[in-house]
Amino acid sequence: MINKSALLCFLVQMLVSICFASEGGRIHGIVRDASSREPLPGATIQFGAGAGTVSDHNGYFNFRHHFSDTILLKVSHIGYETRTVKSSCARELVFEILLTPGIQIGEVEVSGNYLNSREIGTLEIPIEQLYKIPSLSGEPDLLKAYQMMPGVQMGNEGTAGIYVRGGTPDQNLFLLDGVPLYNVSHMGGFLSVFDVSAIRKVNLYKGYMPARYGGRMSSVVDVRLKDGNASERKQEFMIGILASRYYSEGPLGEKNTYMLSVRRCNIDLPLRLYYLMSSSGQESFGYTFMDFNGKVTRYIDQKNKLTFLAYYGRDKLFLRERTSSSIYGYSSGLKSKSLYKHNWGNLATALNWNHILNASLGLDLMVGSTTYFNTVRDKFESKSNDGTDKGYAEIHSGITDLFVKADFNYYGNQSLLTAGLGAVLHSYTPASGSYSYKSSSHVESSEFADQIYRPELNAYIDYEHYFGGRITLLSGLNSIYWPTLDYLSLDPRVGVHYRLFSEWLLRSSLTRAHQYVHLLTTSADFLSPDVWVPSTREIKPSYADQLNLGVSYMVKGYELSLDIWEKRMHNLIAYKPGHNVTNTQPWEFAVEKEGKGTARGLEILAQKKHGRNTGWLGYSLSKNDRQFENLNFGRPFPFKYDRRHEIKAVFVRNVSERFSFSGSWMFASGNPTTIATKKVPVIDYTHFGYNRYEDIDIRDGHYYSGVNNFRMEPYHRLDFGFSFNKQLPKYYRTYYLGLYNAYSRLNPNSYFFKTKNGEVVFVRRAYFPIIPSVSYTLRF
Amino acid sequence: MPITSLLFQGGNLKNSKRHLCGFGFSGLKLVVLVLLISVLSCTKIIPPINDDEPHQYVLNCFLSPDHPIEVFISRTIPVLAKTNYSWEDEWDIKLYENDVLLPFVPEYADSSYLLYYSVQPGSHYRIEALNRNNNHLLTAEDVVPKRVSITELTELYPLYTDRHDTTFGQLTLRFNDDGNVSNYYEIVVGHGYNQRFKTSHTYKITHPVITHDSEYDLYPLTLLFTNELFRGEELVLDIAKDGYGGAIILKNVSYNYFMYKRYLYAHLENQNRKKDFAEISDPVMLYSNVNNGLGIFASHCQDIKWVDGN
Repeated sequence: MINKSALLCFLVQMLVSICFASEGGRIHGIVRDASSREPLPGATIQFGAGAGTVSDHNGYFNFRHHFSDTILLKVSHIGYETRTVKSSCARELVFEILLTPGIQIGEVEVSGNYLNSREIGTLEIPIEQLYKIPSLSGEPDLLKAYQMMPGVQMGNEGTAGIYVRGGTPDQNLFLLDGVPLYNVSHMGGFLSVFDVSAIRKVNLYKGYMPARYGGRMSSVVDVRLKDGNASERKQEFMIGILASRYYSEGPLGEKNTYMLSVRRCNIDLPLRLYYLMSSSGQESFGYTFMDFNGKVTRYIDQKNKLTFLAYYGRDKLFLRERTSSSIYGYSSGLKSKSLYKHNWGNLATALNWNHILNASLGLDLMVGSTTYFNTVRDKFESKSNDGTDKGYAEIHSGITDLFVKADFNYYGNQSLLTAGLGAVLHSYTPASGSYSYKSSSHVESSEFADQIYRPELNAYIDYEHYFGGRITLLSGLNSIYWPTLDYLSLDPRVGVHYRLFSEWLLRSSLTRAHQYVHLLTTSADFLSPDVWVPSTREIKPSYADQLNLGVSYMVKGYELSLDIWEKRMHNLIAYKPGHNVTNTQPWEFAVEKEGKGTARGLEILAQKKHGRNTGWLGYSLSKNDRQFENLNFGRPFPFKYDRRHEIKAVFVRNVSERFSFSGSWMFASGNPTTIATKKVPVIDYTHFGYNRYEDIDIRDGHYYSGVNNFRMEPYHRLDFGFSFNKQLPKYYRTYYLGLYNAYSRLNPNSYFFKTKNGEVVFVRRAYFPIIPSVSYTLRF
Repeated sequence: MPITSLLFQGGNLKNSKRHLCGFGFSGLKLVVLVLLISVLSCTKIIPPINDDEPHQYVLNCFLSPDHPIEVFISRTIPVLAKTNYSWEDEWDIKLYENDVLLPFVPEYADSSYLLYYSVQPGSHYRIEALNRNNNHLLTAEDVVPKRVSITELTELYPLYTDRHDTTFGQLTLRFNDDGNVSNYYEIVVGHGYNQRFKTSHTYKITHPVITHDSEYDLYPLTLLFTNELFRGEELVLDIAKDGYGGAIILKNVSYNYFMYKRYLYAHLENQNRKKDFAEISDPVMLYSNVNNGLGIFASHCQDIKWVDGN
């Protein structure tokens, strides 16, 4: 016989439990570094079996709980000791969790094989690993490190541009604390503009791009800078063959912190000295670059944070000459001097207010500007017995964006809703300039200006919902509107993650992304200035649709993933055949438009982020085509960086606190290039009348069977890096020795024909043999 | 002793330094040698690609009512070969006018096939060239455009003197476009006296018709443009030209002629700029409308006006 009382108590207990469970409570807070008190984005907060969340870029986390008695959280982050937090249950709990940095001698414990759905589809390289990945110059470089990941290709050797899943460098959105940057390379792409010492976290989205990111078709590189150490002042000084760097962070009073980094190229110093000595002070030539990152953060109270950010980066190329001509040792009276300067770079500033409205709702409000500039100035003066000639020319191109945006985050029950609104005023200057010339008998001058204003309104909504700990639905809509051209784009983003078991995760996504701005470069000219141009009535915005299917598996700290993807691009533009940097034709008449691109591929990645040994092994198989009506006579042709196979391996070993070494190896199928295969007689009539022997011009032409008809030899390279560290009484010092291209493989950069001793020969050119590098760093 | 093995000796840099100093002058020479080898070994001559690909036949022919029909047939040669084209003489050539076979056959003489026949503006022409030895057939077709006449050519001289003390005058050209179809034009600016024409290379035209279409910055011998911006209207072109007097050749060209010349100038300029085919711009492919081969079969009509009205 059923005990009615017991049954009643059981039912009441169940009811209470259900009620309590459905009400639950909310837990939110911030994860910070225990020593610097920097917020830690990307920290994993696990609770319950296979459930958890990840802190956002402010280190903030928020979730609804259904605990009835004791709350147990396990908080972990790469490079930090895992911490377990216990607390009694309450309706709302606010935590400030401090993680202690851990020098990874032993394995970092990760309990459970848990994958965070929100982070799936992103490529993250821990900053500590970034420092150790060998690079060409010995200077750690963010984009060069990402080039070692499957699905992310490098362009020409030595360049820092990234080609993500068949896209071009302009199709990647680079954000520095939420501020877009247009130019992200120094030295023609040799090095990126990102100073690793100032970076807290980086994510690269190449599969599913959340709807909050719009305006680019291929990927988003979201770089978050450090806020600054709130406990003590720290400094770092580095000097290397290529560059020198100074970094400082610390508190400014009770509620403020600062972060400051300055980096400068060293190449111009020996160059200037060499030219000055060899020309007796008459010539000076040099190239240099610099980067400045500055950030001040004010923690107004528990719910308000104000941040001011400034970034300035510039490349400079200059040539100064003085000459005096003479005849038979006697001065001819002719003296001249000239100065050529070419500056290009970025200036970005932003003010950001982060406000927690209540336990469920947060607000980010940002106002700022970003500018890309490219200026050439050339002036000369020539004095002779007949008088003085003076000339001056200046050409300028660039972009300036003024923007304001607001983002809202609402943490629901097993869901996160993000929405935002923004307004931007784009100002494009494809080319403007002035010219003047004055002599004793002649004066002329001219000016030209080509400036285009494009106001923009944008909005997005992003929704993530977690069903029963197994299914995550990601959905969103990004919209951009250009009122002057009445262009409106609606870009849906849909993704589903399904956790088959605790170790297995299946994912799929379908996205569309529009792009209203384009970068024009000739692929053959590595020093050509970038020209950013907007969409016009004739040149419609480009857009790309991407489908991605993938599976991930995590076991004992290793993450294995397999992705299959396809991307279709529309309304692409490219320069017309034969265009080069000396052309003065207006850019709208110099481009082919309405091009199409198709790229598809398969990527496999095995990665280990924790422990004494870290690194990854990746493989990708891909095919990438383009098609334009007037290129290759309308036939599809391989994209310039269509590399069929790529294998990339990175290994980092922390031998002890004082020594670590790293190695990387990369193999890639050869790039396609256009090579003449035959000589063809071509004829032309240019004269009046008809005379067989005078009016017919027969010349050598070259036959190309198609655009990018030839495959270069495969590319492969081995790099090493060694770090020697020592804690001294007053500072911590590191020697770094690097070896780029350890077995000196002369990887082909280009093929061409050349006249040598009257004969035409076929030549293969390579740029980078084995290159050692050293640097010395002090931290105090 | 290799430097790397020194470094692996317990990781003590002080000890390593002692060894490296012992390297002394020998070590310095080794470093310089490594650098030199690194710099000098970055270009290498290699065998050309696809050198064993079979040749292709090339047919070149421009049709015009103003001169006889001349057909050049030759072959491609390996890209590294010295320029020495062989002109083919074992071909049977047929010409069709509006799908009717012409009773006249071009005769081979001195590197080309020549036919003294005046093509008609507005007519369609097809060529068939058959190799007697291997029965390889080349075909192509084109329509001869209608003749366009220069309405007026006047001169204003002098116009201005530039900083090089060159005096420029201005030629003003007028002609009417037939607006029913897409038309393609070519103009040649020249000096000349007493009906002797010589192409000028020093002139300036800033009309959007030219800057929109023409590859102006390639400094071609002629300028190509379409009627896209003035369909059915009169075009007035001001041309600043050095020196006094002159002449303008205005050609109404077929689409094939236009495409061929446009790609040809970019192609030749691309090669000429790049003495060593260096990387200033992407290679430019040549246009061809010949089936089973390469080359061009295109047509044009022209008018010429001298500044004195002759």
